[in-house]
Amino acid sequence: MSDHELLVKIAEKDVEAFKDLYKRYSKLVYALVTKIVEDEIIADTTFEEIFLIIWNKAGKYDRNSQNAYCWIITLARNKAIDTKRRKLNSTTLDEYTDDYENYMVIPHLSPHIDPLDLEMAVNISENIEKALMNLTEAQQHVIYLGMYYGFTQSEISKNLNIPIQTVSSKIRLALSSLRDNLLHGEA
Amino acid sequence: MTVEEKNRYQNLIQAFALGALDKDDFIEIVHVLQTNEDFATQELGEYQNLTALLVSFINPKEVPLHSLDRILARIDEIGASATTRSSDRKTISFTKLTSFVDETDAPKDADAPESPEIAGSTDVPEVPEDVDPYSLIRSQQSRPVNNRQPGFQRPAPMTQISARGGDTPPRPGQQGVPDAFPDSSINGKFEEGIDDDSGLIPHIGRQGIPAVPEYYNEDDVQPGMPGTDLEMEINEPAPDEAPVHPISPLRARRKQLIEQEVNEEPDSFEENIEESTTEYDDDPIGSEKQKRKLNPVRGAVIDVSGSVTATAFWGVIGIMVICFSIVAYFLFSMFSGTEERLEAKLNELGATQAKTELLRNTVMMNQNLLLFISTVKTAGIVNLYGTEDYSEAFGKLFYAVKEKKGFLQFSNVMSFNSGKGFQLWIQKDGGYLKAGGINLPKQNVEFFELNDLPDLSQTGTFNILMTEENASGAETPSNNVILTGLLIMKAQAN
Repeated sequence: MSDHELLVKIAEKDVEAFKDLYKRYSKLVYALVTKIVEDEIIADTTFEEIFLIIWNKAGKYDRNSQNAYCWIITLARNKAIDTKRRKLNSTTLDEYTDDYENYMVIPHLSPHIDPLDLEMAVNISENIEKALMNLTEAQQHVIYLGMYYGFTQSEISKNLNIPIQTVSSKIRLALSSLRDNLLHGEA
Repeated sequence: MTVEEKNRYQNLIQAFALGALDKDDFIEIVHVLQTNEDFATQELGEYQNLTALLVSFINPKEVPLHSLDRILARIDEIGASATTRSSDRKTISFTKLTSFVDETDAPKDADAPESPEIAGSTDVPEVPEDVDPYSLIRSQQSRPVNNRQPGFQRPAPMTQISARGGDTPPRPGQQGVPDAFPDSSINGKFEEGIDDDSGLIPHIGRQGIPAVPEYYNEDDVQPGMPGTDLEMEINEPAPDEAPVHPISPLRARRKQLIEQEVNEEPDSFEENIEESTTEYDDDPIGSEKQKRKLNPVRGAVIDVSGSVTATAFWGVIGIMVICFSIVAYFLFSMFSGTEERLEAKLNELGATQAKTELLRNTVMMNQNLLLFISTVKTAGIVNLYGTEDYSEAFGKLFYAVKEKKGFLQFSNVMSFNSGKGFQLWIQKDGGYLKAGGINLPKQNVEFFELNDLPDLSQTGTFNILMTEENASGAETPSNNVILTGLLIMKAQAN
């Protein structure tokens, strides 16, 4: 059964499907969460909360997209980054409510996103890594700050003492280069 | 969507996919994504897949033991709480006429936020099917309970006054209860005037019983004063037990009572006030307060003394409203204007500060440059241009061949991080030679002086690079090239 089918079944509250999805994604999601959150105890809790969100909010997954991988990974990243931000600076963030979760944690995927699942992602992961290595150090750094530190553009700007326009341009250029590298097989 | 907006959103797509947008931009993009068909959804989809794929080569990590068991246990808890949700207790404030409408009419989202914390802490007792769901309310009526339902806010302090008044006296003139109540025993009690369900019916404008006004101060409530039961908890029956009715029985009853009050003739209302206030004869303070609270609401409209007519009253009210509107308008315009002026002033100050910084830096640089030029015999200049990553950057290299000294000025080059420095390289004889040492960037300083330049006295073409290197320096240039330039030397020129 594909990831997409599992997620659809989870939306219908199928526990077996949930277990299967957990088996497939748990190691990757856990690795991602520990990389972002760093604190092991908080990472464990966050990891469990992510799968609870998947269980509760699978109904919000766009079945037409057939892209369970992107939905799950983006959700996990959003949740982990939110946890990290709350840990670092709990006062400036909005209260964690259901509305907040729906808006800030549940992914807003493009309606025209291409289908993708874990198997496909793992198959091309080597190419992605090579393409990433082809980026300049600065570009890699910006991606890393956004991806794993959860820094926003203005936070990166403040942190590195550079104009926000430069950060924006760096991110744009980095991801465009990465995409071009992959599309044109330069990886 | 204008072309400018389109370009702007286009530029935000990558940061959105990376999750690096600031809150305002994030909200804007989500809104555009959901509402605008012109948005570049195809491109966004590609970048979202790309950022998700960046995770794919992280080494998978063994998850903690029993994680799945814990998750499943919590899912079970959520499932259990969902099944008993219909009999969850709710705290309804009868001091707000409309509050119950929002609470009971609010649609229950199928994907309701089963917050783990909430689910875990819910201690709602399960009610057996054969137990009267209302009896639980009555038995717990005097105990304040925090509503634990997700999305519910803790009631305001005013609404948390709980069962202060003790037993509520029988309600004179109480009509029979609609048959919509599922429990026939309750219907019977209403008809018989049994009052152990007191508090189940709101004390709002009830005939014969003075209502406690919403603005009634908690401290003013007299002990033993009837009708002070402002809060109660209700266990609604499960949906399948409920009779077919467009609205819940409780709401139907309350609606009936409200309509009854609204439809009452003013004369009968006055009489009711008279009747109700007579009940306070034993409690003169409470009676007086109650009169004072009630009279301004209705008494001012129909003035029996004749000293103020209704027209005059409404005229005064109208004038007050107009005056208030005018004052509010002026205040608003004054404050909004102030904010704009303040913002403009701040911008001006910020710009002035930036200009001052720039001027100071420029003056310092000019002094150093003049010093350099005046102390060397012959000076040349090479224009340097930013590479693709630093397209906005540019610079000038002033060099003195004989003295082997240089002066590099640059603009729009960021000091990328504190552990990095700038290094100038000159290509010569197929290799790159260091031109001076590593230069650590400083705040607002966009120049550095170079000593020990390679020998440029020969005729030839030299590539010049400025790269970003580790602070400890490097022997060969890294691939992070910031500025490049071409130096064409003619020996005879020197």
